Amino acid sequence: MDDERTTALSAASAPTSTMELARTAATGDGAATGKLLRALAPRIARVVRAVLGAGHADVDDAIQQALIGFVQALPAFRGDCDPLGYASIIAVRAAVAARKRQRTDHARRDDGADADTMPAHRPSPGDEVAAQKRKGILRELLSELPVEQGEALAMRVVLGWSLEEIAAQSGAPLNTVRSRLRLAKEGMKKRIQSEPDLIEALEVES
Amino acid sequence: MSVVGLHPEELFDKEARNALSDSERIRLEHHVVQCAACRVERQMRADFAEEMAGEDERISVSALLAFAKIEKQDRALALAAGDQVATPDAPAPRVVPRRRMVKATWLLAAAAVFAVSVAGATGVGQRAWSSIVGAPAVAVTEANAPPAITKHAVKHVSRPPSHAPVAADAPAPMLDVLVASTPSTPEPARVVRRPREGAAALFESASDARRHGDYTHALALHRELESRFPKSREAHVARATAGRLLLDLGDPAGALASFDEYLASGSGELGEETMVGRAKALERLGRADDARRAWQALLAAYPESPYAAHAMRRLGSQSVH
Repeated sequence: MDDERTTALSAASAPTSTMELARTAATGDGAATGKLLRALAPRIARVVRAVLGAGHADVDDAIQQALIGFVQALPAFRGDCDPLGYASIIAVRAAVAARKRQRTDHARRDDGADADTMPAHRPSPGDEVAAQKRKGILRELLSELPVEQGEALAMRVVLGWSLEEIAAQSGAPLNTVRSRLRLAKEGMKKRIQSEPDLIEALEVES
Repeated sequence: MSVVGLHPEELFDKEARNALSDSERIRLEHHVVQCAACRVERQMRADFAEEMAGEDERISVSALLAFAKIEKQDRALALAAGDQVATPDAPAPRVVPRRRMVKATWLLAAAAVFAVSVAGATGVGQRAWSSIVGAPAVAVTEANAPPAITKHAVKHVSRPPSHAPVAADAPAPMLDVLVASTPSTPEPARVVRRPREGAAALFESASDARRHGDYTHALALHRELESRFPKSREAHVARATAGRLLLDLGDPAGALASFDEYLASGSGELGEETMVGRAKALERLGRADDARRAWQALLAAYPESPYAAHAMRRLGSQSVH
């Protein structure tokens, strides 16, 4: 592997304090768990909000699930990656699951309303509108794609992780990650192509 | 698979690390011009990078943790409920019907307690969680049972909710966890591209303008680049890139002129793609014979081209008409 590809989420890159806290917490130390949770909760919340959309009805439920999931996962933490990445991937999974759950519910109720994709009530600058549209498309895609593809795409786009970082954090082989992203991008392409005016609106409206 | 189906993910990674060589940057930009999915994804990454780089909000986890103070019986209920949460090994929570969600979140908090207790030896987890909460576990009755953790439970609160249960013998007030700032772990550094001078700077500015959807400005910069630095490598590439932009903007005649300029000034890394663009421009201009010759020229020059199948399809369809 290219040396330059040293991941930003490797165990070595984690601050000593956070890593030590995580290792101690993994042994069942309550004080360390509390401190770690306080340190990482804002990040977990931010990831969940980014994936779900801040206006999503289930955003706080998903944050809770992610926080609890993180605590549950701590015993399995081996200290071979950055706790921040460990927490982030749990947050992505909780949020993607919430997205898919919402899609299932909507299909059942057929009401289709989605708070974070509904038009804003107040005017926004053009570039912000375009950015919100793009984010909305990604969020819709995350609920449509197979779970693994959706998670990989969220890690790529929302977290900005490299292929290697996604592979390391998700435990999937690099080629599998590459394949998942390729398929996810095909899904994105189909979504864009399904609305001929969309690409122009997404790129030009600013 | 079309050539744009082979997305240069490694180049995007290098771009994020500001580690692209000039030729890699050219390859990447050319792909992005052609590939709508990559174009949108790159913008999406910038959108989310901005969102993720903002200041973290204050949130309190005390509300969540408070509800963990339940006794063993309730933890057993939680397990019996079978609610799952996302962990690296259990990727996603299972679907919980909305009507059960309020109850589920309450039980999930209890499940977390159990998970910690499993982690350590018998009883360790309970002690651990109790120390997080700041008080020993307390029995939950109808009278003091906390409300279910709703979507409002984890909020931007600076103090615990008044209805949260507090053990009578608690040595200290319930933990008031206020996460005030960003976590100690630094976020990955955002890409800050250093401005460069001359042709390279103009090329880069044009690429930035294109990424932001300002095609008119991008084209103007390309033209300026060609005018001020006509012999530069960047200007050579800009002719091909401008051609592609013009094609996308519905100006096949302008695109054709740019493609021809590129090909006339010598072969380059984008020769193959430029020949494809040229053939498409000719098709859009209704010059079927010229388009057919352009496709044939592509096949002759690049018989192994990933565009070969497309070219042969076009030739086939044109021969029918």
